[in-house]
Amino acid sequence: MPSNVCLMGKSLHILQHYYDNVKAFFTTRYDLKEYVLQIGISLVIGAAAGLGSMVFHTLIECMRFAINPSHFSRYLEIPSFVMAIVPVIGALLVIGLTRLFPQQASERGVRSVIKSVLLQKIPIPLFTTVFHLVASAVTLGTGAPLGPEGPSAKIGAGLGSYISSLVRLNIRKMTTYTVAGAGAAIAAIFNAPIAGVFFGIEVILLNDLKNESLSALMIACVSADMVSKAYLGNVSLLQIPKFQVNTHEVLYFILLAIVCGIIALLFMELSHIIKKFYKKMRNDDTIVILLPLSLLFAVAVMFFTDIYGIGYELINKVLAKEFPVNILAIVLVLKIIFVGLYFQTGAYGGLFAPSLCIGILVGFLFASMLSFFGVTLDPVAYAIIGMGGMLAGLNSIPITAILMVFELTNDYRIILPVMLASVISHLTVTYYNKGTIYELELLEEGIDVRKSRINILESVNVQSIARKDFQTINAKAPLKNALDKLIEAETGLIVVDDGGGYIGILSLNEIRQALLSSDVVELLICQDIVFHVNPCSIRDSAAEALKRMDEYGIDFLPVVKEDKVTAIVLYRDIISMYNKIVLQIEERQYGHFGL
Amino acid sequence: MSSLLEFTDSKFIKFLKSKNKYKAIEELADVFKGTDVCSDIKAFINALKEREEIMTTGIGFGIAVPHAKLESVHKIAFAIGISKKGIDFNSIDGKPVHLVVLVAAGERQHKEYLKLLSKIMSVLKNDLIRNEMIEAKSTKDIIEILRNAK
Repeated sequence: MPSNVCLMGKSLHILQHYYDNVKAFFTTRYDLKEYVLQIGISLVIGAAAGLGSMVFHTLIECMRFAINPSHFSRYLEIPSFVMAIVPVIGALLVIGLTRLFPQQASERGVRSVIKSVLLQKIPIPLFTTVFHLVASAVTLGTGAPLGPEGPSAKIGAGLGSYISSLVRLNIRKMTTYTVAGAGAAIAAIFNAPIAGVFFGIEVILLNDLKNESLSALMIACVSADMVSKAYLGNVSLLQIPKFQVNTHEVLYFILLAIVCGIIALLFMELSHIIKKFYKKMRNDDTIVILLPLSLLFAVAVMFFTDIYGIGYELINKVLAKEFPVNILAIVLVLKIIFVGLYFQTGAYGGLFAPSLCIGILVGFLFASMLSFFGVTLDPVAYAIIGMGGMLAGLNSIPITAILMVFELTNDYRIILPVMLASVISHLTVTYYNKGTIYELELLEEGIDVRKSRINILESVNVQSIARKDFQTINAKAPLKNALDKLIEAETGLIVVDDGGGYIGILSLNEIRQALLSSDVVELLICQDIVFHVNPCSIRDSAAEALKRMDEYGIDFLPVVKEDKVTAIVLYRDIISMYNKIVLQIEERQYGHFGL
Repeated sequence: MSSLLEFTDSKFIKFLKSKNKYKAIEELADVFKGTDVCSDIKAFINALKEREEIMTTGIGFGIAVPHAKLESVHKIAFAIGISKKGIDFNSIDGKPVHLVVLVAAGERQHKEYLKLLSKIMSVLKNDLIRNEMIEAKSTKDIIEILRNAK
């Protein structure tokens, strides 16, 4: 007995010793504490992004099930064509939501997440995240032919940034968890954790493999996928029948990859044309076009119900060989056109799911068409390969595409052809476009991510620094009237015609020469010395406005909308904004607040 | 600024016959025809007339300075028109105009344009010079007056 007591005492002593050592280890090693916290926060953010995605998924599924034209008509015994009106109701709701919350609606999809990360426009307000969850669920739940990944990434990124702001992390860390949240949401929505990680790397981080967000991204994706699996079960989105892959068909794999690349390029070209057309119609407010577009879509849905919605049902039907080839071809064309039309209105949805759908159709058609020439290929296998090729080509994500197809099929045999298809299709697109779809979209907004650094002013919109307090003068007014106004004006004057239309500017520079002789002032009217300056629009970047002011040697620039001056931008406001941003970035990166 | 003579030529000086201000502008602007000053005289005349319609360039003391900046003007220059009988220019002092100085400048010659107008005004402000020009008998006399003007 005494020996037992002695043994117990010895054991307790050893345990106490180990406890002290462990405690000392954690309290003295700050790095370790930070790593443990990083893992913990990543797990929480992953779980939150996973939950957010599941809520989003459930909302879409409920709406899809409840008001799907075919389901609804079955229950209410009304013809399906009546229910084709659902996308129109959805469009009305989406337009209403966008109008009600223009600020929250202004930044949409994956591109906005990349921008937030690149420009460190973080934290993303929680209300913005909730808004995108609802608006996207309405868009996709009422049949818009887009995908849930863009909104999911937005929701995940929003939750990541919100949670990290709650624990008062600095901007660098917040950016890390914003990326982690975006990837985690993709992992959850597609039930594909590895694809989620590579989505974060290829899309959000723009292939920056050295980025410090990587470990957080991986942990968050695992955590999100656990939530997704717990909610959805181990069920794949797609029901893939048995298929046969023959490695000796490598030539056909390559041919299909090139076809996918070309179709991706055609889609991008079509998208570009649609975008230009929309801008011509409604420069600043393309979402309004959603209403006539949804009417057109409703008509198409009456004849081809399968183009309704995200497209998973269509994919499963195609794989189950439920369609004749001619119908498939029509559905493919309609799908491409409507995805392009919807995407460019700024509707809330992404391109991943449509890419999968278009890829399945292309691959299936490819194999079926070749059979007419005596080549026997398994259309199911080629549909899956096409899915990878199209996903990679259209979204410039070859690795994500390979892994996503693998995770969706759970079949290792498909890896080799999908790798070929994804990489070749991606190369075809990037060779022609000289950049990924996201890089090109950001370039249109003045953000060139291909440069080693981002020009800060390219990310600042003229709108954020424009002033409404400007003075105008009629071109026909005598110059002496302008002199009186100039004394009161902070900058120069805007010269307008009788209808208030913009003509040019009068700055002190112009006037100074005229003041050389008082008789000249008597002789001149404003029109005589107006400086015809090419104005900027509210959507231009501050960098563009500054460049223009430098060219003309002026210190302010009018902001014109439809020939009328709506505001002015001052040179000094741009410079002060630049200094402010530089200071903010420095403070955020090296400030001493938070972790 | 250098001498005014750098911006004119004896070919650009004309004794005007027109009594109407628009006709006088047309008559005087025609001196630039076939020169390297302006490639589109019609557009130039229209611009001068439009400007005149907005507000008279008759600044009093028998002087009018019609002027226009135009894309088709390639070289800044001025022409001088003398009307012995006088032209009704709706001048601010209501008196007829005897001396018309027509200034042509390119769209982007903003500074030069104002400097030239300023120089012309400062020369014409001198009563003696102004009267000498109105009384001049030949283009040679005008050139000589401008040469001596400081």
